[in-house]
Amino acid sequence: MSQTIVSRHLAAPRGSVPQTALRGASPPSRPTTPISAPSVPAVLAAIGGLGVFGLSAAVGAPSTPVIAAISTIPVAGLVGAMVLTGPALVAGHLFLRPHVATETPVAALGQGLTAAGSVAMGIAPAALFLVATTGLWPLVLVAGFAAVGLSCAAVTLQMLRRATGDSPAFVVGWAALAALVALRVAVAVGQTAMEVL
Amino acid sequence: MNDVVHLPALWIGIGATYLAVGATVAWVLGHRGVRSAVAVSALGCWPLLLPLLSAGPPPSASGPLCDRIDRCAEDLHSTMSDPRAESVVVVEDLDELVADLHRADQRLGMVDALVVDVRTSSGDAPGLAALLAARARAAGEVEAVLQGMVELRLSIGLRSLAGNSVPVQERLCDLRARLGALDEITEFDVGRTS
Amino acid sequence: MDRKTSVLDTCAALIRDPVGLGRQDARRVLHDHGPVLLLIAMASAAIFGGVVGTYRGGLQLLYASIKLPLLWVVPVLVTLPAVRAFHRVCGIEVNYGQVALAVLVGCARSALLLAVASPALWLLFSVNVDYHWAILVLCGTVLASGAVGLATVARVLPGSGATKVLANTLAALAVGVVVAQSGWVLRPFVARPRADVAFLRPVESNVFASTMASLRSARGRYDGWDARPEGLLATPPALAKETP
Repeated sequence: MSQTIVSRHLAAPRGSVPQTALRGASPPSRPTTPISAPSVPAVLAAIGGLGVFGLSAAVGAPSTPVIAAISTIPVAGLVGAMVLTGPALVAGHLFLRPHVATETPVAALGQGLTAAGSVAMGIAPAALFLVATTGLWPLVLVAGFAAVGLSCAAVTLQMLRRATGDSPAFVVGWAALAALVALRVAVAVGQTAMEVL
Repeated sequence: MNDVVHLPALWIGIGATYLAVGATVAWVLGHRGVRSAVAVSALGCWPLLLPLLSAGPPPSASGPLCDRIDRCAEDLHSTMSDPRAESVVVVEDLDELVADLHRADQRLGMVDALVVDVRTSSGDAPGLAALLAARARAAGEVEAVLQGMVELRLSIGLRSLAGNSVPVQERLCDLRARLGALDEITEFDVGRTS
Repeated sequence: MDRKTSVLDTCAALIRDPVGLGRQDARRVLHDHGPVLLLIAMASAAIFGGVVGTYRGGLQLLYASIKLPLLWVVPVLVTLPAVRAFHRVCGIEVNYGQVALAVLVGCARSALLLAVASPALWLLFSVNVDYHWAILVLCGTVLASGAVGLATVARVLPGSGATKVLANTLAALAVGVVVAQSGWVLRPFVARPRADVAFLRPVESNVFASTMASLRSARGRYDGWDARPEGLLATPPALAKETP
């Protein structure tokens, strides 16, 4: 690896490539496709979809304040995880992938959020049906939140792979961190709801 | 106690909302002139019929070449998706081409119905000959595109044998462009006769 | 009704070439064939329901012929957005119209297969087969028809490779769960010969708990079954007592 770095440094004109960017820098291993960030209405629609799913799953809760609190879990969990871990993803790409545009990880996160919102909106009627006919609203909420979170992570990873041409391990690590953060935020909101009850 | 009272009301509310949306969709579709059977179906099954609400005139009765367009489209689609041929993932382009063909066919059907109506009520009106000539030219273009689809199937076979030497995507775009030229021909003819 | 949208022609298209029917312009086909496809789905399911009701006879014929169409169509309406969402998240660009048409074609085709299986089922029920075997045959027939319907939906919708398999597996899972719970809510279909005929039984627990209880009882453990009413349809008995 050090020989590769040295030979690349010798091949490039002096001052053309920042030293810091050489660490781990590598050209894309496959063709790349630029990705675009979703529009603001699309992002708002995605958040709306998460809210609709949360409400659909929460109507089985025993009282109205708990319904209101539980219905915010998908929005709070997913958006909270993105807000808290998004900067890490962007910084990681800026540091480890100098050939990647700054907007790329942000656009990928946006695409992941819109995908999660569309899945949430899609499964909301089924969730409402199951909650209305069974007492399994906690299971429906957890399973639906997991499906939404997995969709978000999968689409984000896919968009990053499409834009950067490779699948760096740190992105998978970021996805695992984001999942844990989303769960923690969701549990915190759930605990608050139980305290209200 | 209040929660026991409002839980059944919530379920009734969900059901009433569903029926209310169905009634609204049925009314909108009926207002746009769709068949009454479609509007009645929307009362209970509106999620399936929501696509009919999208912008554009409601799909009217098919034209004279509808069956042939469907047959050509199905044959071309099956050739494209044949796993033994090289994968040609242009299904969306084909769908758009078929939609354009059906729209052109519906215009032909509308003109045919108009010609019959005018002949019945007014005999051989002065502009009828020009309209028939324009209709013949438009039908000729559609026939040419259908023939092009047949040739495209042969091209796909050729591509499978010869490698990536036949630009299938470009041929589809050519066919669509040819259909788009129908509008220009129609405008020119209408401008000439008015 | 013109030749193109006649019931028999649509049935022929469903049997011979459902993919061809489902891949045409969605708006046009939904407009021209939508009501007929719905009619085929509901009428075929009603015929099958009537045959299922012959096991008990009497009013059960009418009840089952009303509930089977609901069992076939309601899950389709509920899971339609989920099917589209799963396809889009798997990278298969498909619009709502295409999904609606594919699902409608699959539903109608599977219902038609139920109607085709009805004479054989009637023959079996006419020889007074054991109640549990009757339930198993009913479930097997519904599963087989449902599988054909889902396979039809998968063939009609675009896509290829692993993403198509994943999208259709997720869709099948969603549809299967909703159909199972719908069947539990709408039961009984095959009423016991000595049981009172009722349109619906009180909502007790859910299909998943009852399945687990059945598996336990098959192994000789008859505990763990809690027949409490569940869901928004049921009023908990403790609270019901407090109601004046």
